[in-house]
Amino acid sequence: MSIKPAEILLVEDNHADAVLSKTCIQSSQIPSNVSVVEDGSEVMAYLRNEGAYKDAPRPDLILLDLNLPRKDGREVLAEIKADETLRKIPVIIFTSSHADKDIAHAYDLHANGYIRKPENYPQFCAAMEAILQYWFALASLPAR
Amino acid sequence: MGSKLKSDGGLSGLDLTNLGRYFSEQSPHAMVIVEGTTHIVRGVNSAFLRLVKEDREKLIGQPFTEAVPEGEKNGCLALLDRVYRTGQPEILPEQEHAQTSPAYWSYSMWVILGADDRPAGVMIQVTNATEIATFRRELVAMNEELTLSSIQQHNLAETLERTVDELKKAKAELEIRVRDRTAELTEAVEELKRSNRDLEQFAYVCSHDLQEPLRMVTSFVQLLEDRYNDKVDEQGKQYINFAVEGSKRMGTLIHDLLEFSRLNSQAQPFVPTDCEALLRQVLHSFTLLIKETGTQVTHDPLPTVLGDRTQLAQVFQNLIGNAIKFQSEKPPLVHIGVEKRDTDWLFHVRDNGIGICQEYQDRIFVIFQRLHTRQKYIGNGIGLAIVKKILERHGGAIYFESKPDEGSTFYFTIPINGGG
Repeated sequence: MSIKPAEILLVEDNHADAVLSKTCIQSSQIPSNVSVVEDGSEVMAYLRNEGAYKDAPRPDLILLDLNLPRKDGREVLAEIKADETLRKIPVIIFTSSHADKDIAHAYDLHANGYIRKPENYPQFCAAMEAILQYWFALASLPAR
Repeated sequence: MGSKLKSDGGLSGLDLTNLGRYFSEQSPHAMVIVEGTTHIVRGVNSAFLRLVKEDREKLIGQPFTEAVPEGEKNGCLALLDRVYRTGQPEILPEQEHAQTSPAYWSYSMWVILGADDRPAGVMIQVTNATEIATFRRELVAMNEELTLSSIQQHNLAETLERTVDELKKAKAELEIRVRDRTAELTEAVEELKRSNRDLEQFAYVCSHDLQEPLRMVTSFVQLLEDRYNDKVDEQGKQYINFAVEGSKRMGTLIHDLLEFSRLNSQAQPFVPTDCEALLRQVLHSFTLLIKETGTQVTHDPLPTVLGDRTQLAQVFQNLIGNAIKFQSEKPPLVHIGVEKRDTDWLFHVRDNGIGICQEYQDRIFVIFQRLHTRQKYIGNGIGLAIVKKILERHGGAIYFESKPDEGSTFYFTIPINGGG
């Protein structure tokens, strides 16, 4: 287990969901830093340290909502996975969509997981804990 | 010979009386001889006397019309004069003589020559024309009748033609109305289908879109409960609890509504489905509940039917779930049975639970219809509505028999050859 806290990028336009996710992540046993980007069109700038994101840390894990304003999650996912330097970062789709075609499409675009947002707080935290446990305690990630 | 005749006197020197007798007495036809212009009767035979029912003495020397009064009007006298004048014989056919028998006479007249070969009188012979007159009358009557009936036929034909025309018109109108009505009905059915689809779509969108804000409410109320429960008083805790419970219930409602609205869109084609395996799978999902409640579940050997596997599993799931859920104080028993009938399988799920009043027969299958308070038995009242909708899609039906406090039996049918 890494001693450095896990760097997590949360791409989420719904502020309440962002707060909820952040609350759960921060109450997890896995220490982490959470950054939130609410606009899909700014994700690539963040990841490439462009403009206002000059000092943004490279994330170890990206939690990506599908339905975003301006540039939607599918496009963001496609761009990340098309970028040689970024595609190693695990991207977990974290959305409220139940649609089979969304799930299939996400994996077609090389998503590393697809998690449906649970319907209440305890389940939400349990899901977040499971994600963090898997990626930061169980799985081995490429060096930053 | 002329002189001999002349010797007996009379207007033309002819003894007409004797001559008449001499020639005509034995004739079966009535005969009478009259003088040229005066029409005085000069001779009659017996047949004539019988005909007019008179004595010879009374008639001789009298005008002809004395013996035959009709002669004046029926043209007999005028004809006599003509015969006398022209010397040409004439026939006056079929004259009616109402007082005598026979009632119809035909008169034949010819001139009698005197000694000088000049006309002296006229012989009139009467023959019975009743038969031919009657025949003619009947013929006329028949002809009239025929004419009449032909007119009637003509009228009838016209009426018939009119009626046929009217019928044709009525038929055409009817056809137009039927066509219009059919079109209206087809449109109505289409409209109904469309509105049904819209409604399903509406329910789907509604329940799907409601999930998002509800998830927020639920999560944050729970977060509040998690983080701030020790900072509020007892009443505050109760308020938070109400909010948590309410949002949970709404969550299940929306979930069920979503499921109900998806029944059609997620329908699968019918395949041979082993109900025995289906039941095993359903009972497996109830393992914990069955153990907790101590329910004893038995079942008949179940057949393979044609149907939507997932939906049929849901039928068993909901009915068996209810049977376990609505139990009384007695040790719970649930039995799943089946009977093969002519065209369908009659399944039943029987329990010894609390039972249902027969009066709820219809209401119980309506969506969101609950019979019990939420405190006593949980649920949204959607399970049986789903079951009913699934069975209807399979061409089957559902009903129940129940006695309060003794238990319920839910019967449902599935066509053997696959309905739907």
